[in-house]
Amino acid sequence: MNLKYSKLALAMVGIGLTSASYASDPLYSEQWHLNNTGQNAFSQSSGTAGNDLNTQLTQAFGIAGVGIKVAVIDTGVQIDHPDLAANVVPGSQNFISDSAFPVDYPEDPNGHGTAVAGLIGAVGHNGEGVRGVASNTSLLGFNWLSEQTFEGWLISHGKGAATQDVRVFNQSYGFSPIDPIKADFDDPQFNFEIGVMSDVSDNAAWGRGALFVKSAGNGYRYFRSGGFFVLPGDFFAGGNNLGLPMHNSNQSYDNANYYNLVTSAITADGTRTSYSSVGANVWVAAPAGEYGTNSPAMVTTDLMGCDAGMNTSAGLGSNGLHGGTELDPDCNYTSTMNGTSSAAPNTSGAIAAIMSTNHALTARDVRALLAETASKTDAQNPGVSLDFVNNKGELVSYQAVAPWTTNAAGVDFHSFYGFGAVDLDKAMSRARMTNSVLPPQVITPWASSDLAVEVPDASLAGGESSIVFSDDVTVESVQVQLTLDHARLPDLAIELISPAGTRSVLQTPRNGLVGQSLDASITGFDQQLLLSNQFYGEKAKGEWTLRAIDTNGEEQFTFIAYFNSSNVFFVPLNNNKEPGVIKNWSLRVIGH
Amino acid sequence: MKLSIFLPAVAVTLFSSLTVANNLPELAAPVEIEASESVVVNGQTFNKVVEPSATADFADTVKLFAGDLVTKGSFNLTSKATGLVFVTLVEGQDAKAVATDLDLKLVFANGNSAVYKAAENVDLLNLNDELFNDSRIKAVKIELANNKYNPE
Repeated sequence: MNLKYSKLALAMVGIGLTSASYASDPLYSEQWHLNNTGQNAFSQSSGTAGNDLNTQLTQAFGIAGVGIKVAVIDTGVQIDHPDLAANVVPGSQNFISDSAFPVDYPEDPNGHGTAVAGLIGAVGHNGEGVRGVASNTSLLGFNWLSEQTFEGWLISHGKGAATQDVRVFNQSYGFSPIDPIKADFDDPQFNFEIGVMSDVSDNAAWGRGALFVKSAGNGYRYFRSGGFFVLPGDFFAGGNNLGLPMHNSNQSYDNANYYNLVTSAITADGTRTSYSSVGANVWVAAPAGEYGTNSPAMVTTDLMGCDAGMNTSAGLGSNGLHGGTELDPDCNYTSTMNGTSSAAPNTSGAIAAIMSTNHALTARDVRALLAETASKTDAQNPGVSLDFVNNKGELVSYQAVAPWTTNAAGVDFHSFYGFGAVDLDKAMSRARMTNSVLPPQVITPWASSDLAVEVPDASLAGGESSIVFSDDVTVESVQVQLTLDHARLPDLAIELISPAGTRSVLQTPRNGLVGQSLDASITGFDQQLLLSNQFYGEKAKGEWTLRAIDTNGEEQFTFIAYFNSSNVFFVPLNNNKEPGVIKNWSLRVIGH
Repeated sequence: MKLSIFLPAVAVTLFSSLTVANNLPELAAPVEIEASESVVVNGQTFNKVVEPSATADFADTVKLFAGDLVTKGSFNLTSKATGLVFVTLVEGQDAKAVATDLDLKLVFANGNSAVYKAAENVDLLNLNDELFNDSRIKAVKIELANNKYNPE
């Protein structure tokens, strides 16, 4: 921290700024994600100073996303909000078919998207409310989540007249399936969506490309799937699913899509939030906080007025801001926004600022800069070990979530945090010094193995299958497609080991893929798509090994389907001692 | 044909006495579908929701139109046929020509992918077969939308 402030002070002296000139947003002092001084952000406890996006130098330089368009694809955006309106540019769209609002006003019936927009680009230095990470960026709002039509998806994701020059698409949304989902590249719908995202990522904005930023999910403890919540069987007994995530972010195939830059969420102490989904496919982590009552959440824009949004007159006393308090008598701001929904826009805002530092950088360059400058947060986190009784009756231990690991290219990775916490000042500084970060991209053909391999019940030995990869490329990301028969998918851990020996857990065990209990036709994974960023910088050539480990020999494994307190279903999955079978798997590398 | 489904073949225990000893939001209770008939869409079996009054009109051949609801799984997750059809064309084929020939509206084309919209009175299952048998087309999929994405 001393170094940080020293650099800041030097920078400010250099450009003639004083601290007073960048502190004119009344609620800025509580926005710990921009400058964590250990404030409580209207909650009952404080964070730890220094755990923030590291924005001070960037803000002192006045780098705030000028000329960069960011699309907020969400429940909507209140684009006439006093702390957003000046940054909103033409092109927003209202997709709600029976809306009373005009077609260019993306009505936000929920408030979620308005909070997201504020984190990205609330107007800075205007004597009003809060400040966005990129407080002078150009915002567009799309309420696609409120009415999820295909046409709306196209328009909001880069194929509309107003979105062709958008450089950042913020997607603070997701879905968490209980069934494995076949990611068939011959499926016309899947092929279409990937094709559009690939095209926009590479070619939007006159060839500089755009980034799709996506939330990892809020499913560590439980998740919503369709009309109910999926809870671990021990939930009401005070259990925590043995410390493992119910929703590994790789369970959602769109999170295993390379074109989505997936973000996990960290607290004001720099640790994983209680809810954040995690996985090998996480690129970076960003501040989001907890719930704003006991500990800090986000301070951002809210639907105007005390009768809408998260901050209403009914909320007086829930924290120091809500309920029409002196600080915010009109209830235009909230201090309870959280979720990976907040981590994504904080990342999007940082990206917009980096892009505005150097408009010549491609989207892929900026993505790389974000990874290469991320900071190792929660450095002592031990990961999660799972103890289980194997098929010989012995108690054994499996490292289901590894601690921070340095790969063979010297890159640090933790599946809670990806490459680490976003460090805007560091990325901005790199962006100022280069016009090209990476060589041209290579996406290799799929390499496959269809050798059947048994996966024994409850055994660390697991089933193991290898592919010799001949392409001489440097890895950015690796995708795997896996077909594996198994009677109880949550028992399985899936891991991939690189030619250099780096191990990445693609799917953690004891997860919420419990659909087999409700649909007997599900025999296991069928072309399940999984992605890892953990091999970044390593050479791809050589032998890759996929391992499937069954971690549970117990007769019954139960999950809870929770609709409401009157409709709670305990659903069992019975064990089958027959070995599972890896039927086939494929691997491809996205790199250079 | 299946006239009634509700949590079939699942061993569950209902805890109606459970009080709100947690912070979970309260969602709607699972809905009982009074009448439905089996339909295979995109290779998967669903139950097509029909009005109870229409059960006497079950045809021998099930049809699927834009706006029809289908459900899957024990908790009756519902999807709606939108009338859109995703298509992968054989390399070099013209998406517009296919639309013209089959009286479809071309919504969007990207590379060898295309999305078509059928008129409301078009049986999507029949259209699916027609497209599948067209030599210009490699693959077809009927869109079933279920608003699956949530803010998170």
